[in-house]
Amino acid sequence: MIVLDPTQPSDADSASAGLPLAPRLDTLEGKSIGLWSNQKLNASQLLEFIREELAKDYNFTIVPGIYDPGRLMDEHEWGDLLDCDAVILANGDCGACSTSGIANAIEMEKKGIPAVLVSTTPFTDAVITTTRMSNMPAIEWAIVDHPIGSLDETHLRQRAQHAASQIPAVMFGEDLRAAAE
Amino acid sequence: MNETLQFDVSDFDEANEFYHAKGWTDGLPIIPPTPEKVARFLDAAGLEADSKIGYYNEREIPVYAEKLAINAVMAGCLPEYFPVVVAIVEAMLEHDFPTHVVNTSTGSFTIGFIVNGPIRHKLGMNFHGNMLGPGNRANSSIGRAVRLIQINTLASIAGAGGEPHEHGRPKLDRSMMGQPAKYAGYHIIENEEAFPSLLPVHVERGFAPEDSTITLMFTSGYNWICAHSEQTPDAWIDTMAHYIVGAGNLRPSGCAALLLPIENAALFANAGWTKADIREALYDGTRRSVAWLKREGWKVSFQRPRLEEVEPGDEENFMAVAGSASPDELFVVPCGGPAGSWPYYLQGMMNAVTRKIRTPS
Repeated sequence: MIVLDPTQPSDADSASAGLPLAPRLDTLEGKSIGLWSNQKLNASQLLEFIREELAKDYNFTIVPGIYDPGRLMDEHEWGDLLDCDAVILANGDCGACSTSGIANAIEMEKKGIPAVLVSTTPFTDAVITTTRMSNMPAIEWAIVDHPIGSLDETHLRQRAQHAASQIPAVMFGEDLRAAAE
Repeated sequence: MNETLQFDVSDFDEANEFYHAKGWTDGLPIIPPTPEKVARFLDAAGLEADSKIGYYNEREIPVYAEKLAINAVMAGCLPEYFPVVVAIVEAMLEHDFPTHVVNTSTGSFTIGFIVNGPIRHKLGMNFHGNMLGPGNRANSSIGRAVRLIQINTLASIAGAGGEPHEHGRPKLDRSMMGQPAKYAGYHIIENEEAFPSLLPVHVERGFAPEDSTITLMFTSGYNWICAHSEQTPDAWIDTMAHYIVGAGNLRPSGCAALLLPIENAALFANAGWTKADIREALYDGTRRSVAWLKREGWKVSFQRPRLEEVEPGDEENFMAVAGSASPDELFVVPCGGPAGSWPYYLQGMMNAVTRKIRTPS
């Protein structure tokens, strides 16, 4: 009896090579940094705390934005994205927001804008899989402990500090995973 | 499209063991999808194997008719059911439908689809007792086909928390608990004939009565409510509104479905109420002031106004905290057995989409 395969590979499976990242920054000094919130619990507050952390080392301007927590954004929904030299996206502490978050970050990278998602540890494998399905396996993101949405200010600031310690390296093109190993 | 891989197995049992080992099932036995059966399904929908149904943006997966037919065979569908499966998947892949949330969220969501029009009779679908299952082949297998498509074609492998891969496939369905309705969804078939004055969902949404449609939503599950002692429309609305709010899934956005028992639908039809009247009354009945929300300790859309102080203006600031974004986004569906007053309320999330079911002429 002949039977058929019910699965469908992503387009990336037949692609010859991974898509390139956007050109990286050499500093955040004087740059316009997008803070893109998916408006889930604590997302905007986390971005504000990250801004405060990064502002200790760099002078930069802010471009606020929002994105959908559950899907890839359309071109006309991006707001002032093209005004940004780089973007930070938060947050990813559930399945849909972490994987759609990295998918949206990949779209930003395709437009030439370095993008850093902040996502929590339980979703690392799902984020990795999404980067492969979107054919951009080289993209990095900031990984912090779970959760984000239910934290009080003290713990949320700790998450922000941890994220902020990773974000410049991602924007500069340093290999976080290799460094960790 | 890439050529579909074929495998040679000795019999039904070996086929099932092979598909289980590959992680291509929902844990239950499947009907082996042979090329002959798949071809009959495609013919029934007037589609070619490489007919493109849509594209799953977040995972960059092109979706072709052949893959849908393979999964529909596996689910136990008959060929004539296949156009319904296709319409549901087309709706899933529309921009306005949050398929990625259903496929990936920790919220253990599942789809619900309301079937309207002549196809209900053509396929022998059940809108009487046990409509949601078990028992009716079309009701059950169409919903199961969509779940298998989510698993196989849309790459939503369940089981997060153990090994990151199941049978070599990454676990992208991050449901925390899952739920029984993920096997076959909420297959909601409207009893359009019982009360003609209560216009069917598809007619209210602009389709002709002779059109066959599906209206797709997604939901976390249903609230089961007793309404046996409410013998006037107003009393029924009052009870429902209180229990819907009391269920605690308070959202000022999205859609919802009300599965209206025949006994209860008679109350409204005999009193001259339309579905619009029911929707408006429930919408009004679930409005609460912001001050009330804070004092009573509720969350709204997962936010926590209970932690906030009541401020000037909160007493006068009312919002619809349960049900739907607007009265128009509440689907009232007469259905179920001839006796019993157990309405089901399905709180949806985000948008619903209605699609016409296309069958070859």
